[in-house]
Amino acid sequence: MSPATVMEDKAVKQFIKTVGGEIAAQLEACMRCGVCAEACQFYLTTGNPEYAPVWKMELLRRAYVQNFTVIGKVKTMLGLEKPISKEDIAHWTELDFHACTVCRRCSLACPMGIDVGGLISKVRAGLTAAGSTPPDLLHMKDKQLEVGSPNGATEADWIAWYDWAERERGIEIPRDVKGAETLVVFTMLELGSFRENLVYVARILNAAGVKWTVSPRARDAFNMGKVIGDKKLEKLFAERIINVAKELGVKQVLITECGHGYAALREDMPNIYGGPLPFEIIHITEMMNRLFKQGRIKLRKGVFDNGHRITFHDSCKIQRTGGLFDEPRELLQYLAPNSFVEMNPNREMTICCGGGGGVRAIKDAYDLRMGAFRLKVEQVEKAQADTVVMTCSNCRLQFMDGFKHYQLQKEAVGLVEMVAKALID
Amino acid sequence: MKTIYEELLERGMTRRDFLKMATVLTAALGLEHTMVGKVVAAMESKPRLPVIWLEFQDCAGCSESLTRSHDPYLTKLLFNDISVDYHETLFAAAGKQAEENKEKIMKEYAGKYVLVVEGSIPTKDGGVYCTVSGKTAIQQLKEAAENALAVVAIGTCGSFGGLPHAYPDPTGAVGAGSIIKDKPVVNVPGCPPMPEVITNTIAHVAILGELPELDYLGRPKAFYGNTIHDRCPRRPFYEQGKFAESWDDEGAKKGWCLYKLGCKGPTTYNACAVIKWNEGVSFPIQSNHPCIGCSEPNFWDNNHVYDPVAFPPGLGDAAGMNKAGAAFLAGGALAIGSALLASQQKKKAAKGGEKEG
Amino acid sequence: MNLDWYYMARGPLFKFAVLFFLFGMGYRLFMLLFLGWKKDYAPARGSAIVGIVKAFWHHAWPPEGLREVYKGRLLAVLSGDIFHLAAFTVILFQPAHVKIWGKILGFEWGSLPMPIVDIAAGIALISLIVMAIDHLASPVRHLTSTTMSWLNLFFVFLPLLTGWMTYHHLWLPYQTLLTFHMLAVEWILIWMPLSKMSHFLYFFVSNVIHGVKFGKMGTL
Repeated sequence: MSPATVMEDKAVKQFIKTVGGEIAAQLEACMRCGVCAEACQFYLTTGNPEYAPVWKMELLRRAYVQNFTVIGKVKTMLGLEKPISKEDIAHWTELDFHACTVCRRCSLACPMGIDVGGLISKVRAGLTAAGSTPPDLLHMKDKQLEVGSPNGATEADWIAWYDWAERERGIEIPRDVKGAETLVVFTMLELGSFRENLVYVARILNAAGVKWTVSPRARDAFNMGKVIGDKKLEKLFAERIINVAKELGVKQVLITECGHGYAALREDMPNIYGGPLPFEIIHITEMMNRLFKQGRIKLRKGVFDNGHRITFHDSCKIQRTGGLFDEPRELLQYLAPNSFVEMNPNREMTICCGGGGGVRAIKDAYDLRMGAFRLKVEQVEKAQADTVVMTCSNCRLQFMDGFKHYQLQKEAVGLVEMVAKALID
Repeated sequence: MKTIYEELLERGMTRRDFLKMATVLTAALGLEHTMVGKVVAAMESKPRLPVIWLEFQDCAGCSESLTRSHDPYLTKLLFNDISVDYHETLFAAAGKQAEENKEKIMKEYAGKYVLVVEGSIPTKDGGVYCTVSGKTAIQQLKEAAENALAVVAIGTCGSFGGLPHAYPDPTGAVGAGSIIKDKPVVNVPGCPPMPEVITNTIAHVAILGELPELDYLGRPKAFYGNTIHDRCPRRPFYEQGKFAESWDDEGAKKGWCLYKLGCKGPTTYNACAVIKWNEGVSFPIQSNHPCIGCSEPNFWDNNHVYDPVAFPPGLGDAAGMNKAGAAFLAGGALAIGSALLASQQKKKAAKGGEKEG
Repeated sequence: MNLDWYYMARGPLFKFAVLFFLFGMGYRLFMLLFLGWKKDYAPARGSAIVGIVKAFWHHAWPPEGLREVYKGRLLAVLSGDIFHLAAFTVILFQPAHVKIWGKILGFEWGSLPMPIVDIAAGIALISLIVMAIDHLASPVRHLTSTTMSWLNLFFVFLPLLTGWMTYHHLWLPYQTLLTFHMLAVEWILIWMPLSKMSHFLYFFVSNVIHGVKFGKMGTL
């Protein structure tokens, strides 16, 4: 077997491994109508039909048809079905990693109810198994494997961040506290770019009297395994957090403004383990809402009603597939009852920022993601908003890049920041 | 040889009467008005053609029907003027004498007589199931057809095999058209056919000496050109979706469409709805009974009489249901096998992936 | 005789087609059931039942955000929806069809007047033509369409067309038209388990999966 064949073989094997009743039902239900394309920011902004979600999952469909259906087997024998080739793998690597954020807007648009985005992430897994992952992402994966964070931040770097907060902002960052009720896990994106978030989260939790801790060992919620579709790595990276959480005996693991890290722990890990985790995985958005509703934190009502219009961007992992639609809105309506406006479409049909799923990390995809961001710009402008609030640091970075790219004087803010600023001490 | 016109004059008919009769006859034959001249010319120039009427596996119902024709001209024409020279049920002669008479006509009028066939012809076991004077029906038919000007098959039996052909068809019954291949056969199906249709068709052949326009089943288009359904007085109810659902419900009393009670009108080509029976009194649907499609080939086997025409035969019966269930489960069993194979494949793929990864 | 095909189509071929259809769909259903299903252990935020109801409801009445998406391919979405409504009106409410369903199922329902069924058939035919145009006009649909999808359109077109011709008794003898109609229906019955036309089964499965998944996530 030539090395080339081995590559495709690995992809096909990965596909065969994943196909079960659930995937088969969805692939069989697909009429390839292409309505999903109308939900995809990359198709809508480029008009390239290959960016249609249905086409992005084509490899999985072909592997399924060729290996699981009678007709497909007959057709393969007759040479009517093309086996997956090396070129196909290279081509789909570009389609699925550069032009897809796995935001799953297509999943909700599908008239047959197919989780198209979910299936595309299976294709990503196959491509990764074949060793065909964009080098930028591979590099990040290697860094996370070697030093702990995809951007190369080491444990020392993280400790320096904690120390900075204590030194410069005078707020204590408890570390590895046994018996704490909440383990707070940040991401390198957040602390790398919005270091103040560390202080904000600390102030909110302190104000509520939550017994919390961070751990330099379980420091980064970022999970490259989930991004590239490697379940083993995903488990490895998630376990860095889970093991520490078990060791410290916490009741909940609080994920700050990171989308996929939250989804990896909350949605994926129980399924990888085949059972629920012994603690709650909670996102900062839900946490803040809960503390506010319980009256554990007091906020100044209408503090952001200062003439600037504020809108909220729903992120794919936290809102669309996390279900946290009302939690941030309730807070915003309290903080800015008069200046809060909605973008359209919103909630589960929100348009993706265009930078998730690793796309923001791929340098060659810059034009694509900036093109995709045009839809977001249109939405924001239609809502006449000056500030866009969101709960995901990756979205926030994409918004900042995008506003710069389109030369817009608008702000992208994290909800944590707003809540912290509105705290009544 | 005398022409028909001359014979009629001899019987005391005037020219005026003759022309009147020819006009009515033209209409009765289902021909256009402009054809009157042709009919007149034919009757003036051609001698009368004798008719030989053979009966095989039949009930003589078609002959019965014929005798109830209410068209005076045609009946008279047939019996008095055209002359049916051999008819087993109707004529007085019997036995050898009758057969001799038939053979005489066949010789004398070779190529000029009209052969009418009533009843089906058995083909199984050398055709022994129907013999006349020692000859099988097949032989009789072949002999008679050899020098006939035209062959007219009367009734569904004579045309398509009819009731004797119905399952299990013990005699291998067929229509005349299946035996005679070298001559056109006019089929006048019906169980029985309408008397007017019989007389008109025979008269058409006997008077004009040519075949009427036929459809793909060899039936005269003039009478079999439309379905009962297309000409049914209850058609508007069909369109409106007003159906009698049982024999004595409101719909049946109001004279609604009998489709759901098994009316075969939609698939039956015949003139019943237009000419009607018993001097134009009524026809089955008018009398609140669905058409049973008696003039269509295989009507007996094709559907239960009271099953709607849409039912494929045997639909929904217990044996069929069992078979259906069995087919479904067989598919399921095969699928479970395939799924087991697929899970092996999956396990293999998972293993291979681990080794390499 | 000329009616041989008529008897074949109504008798043995129909039986074969129905049995083949059941065999094929049995295969498909059981294959699906036994291909392996994973339990979802992720903690639920919303209700799976609500999700399922909403998944189906969203097809009948798309919420605003979804309507926004559908606007991009209005022709495809509408032709698809209208085709199904019209085709099922014909299949389920044409008087002859009602009788057949009644005979198979053991109970019956009312039928619609023929002109309405007639119009429905016309609408179904037109929407199939619109779908075919969409196959060519939409770049995405053009990319994803295959010989099979064209055949599917054609094979669905045939029974509707022949049925419509039969009702109007166009050009050919009634039995000939009915034969064509029966043959077209039988071919579809055979074709269904072999092709994407079996999506009627997966539509329900897929939407239930969708509803459970997104319902539990709290999306729906």
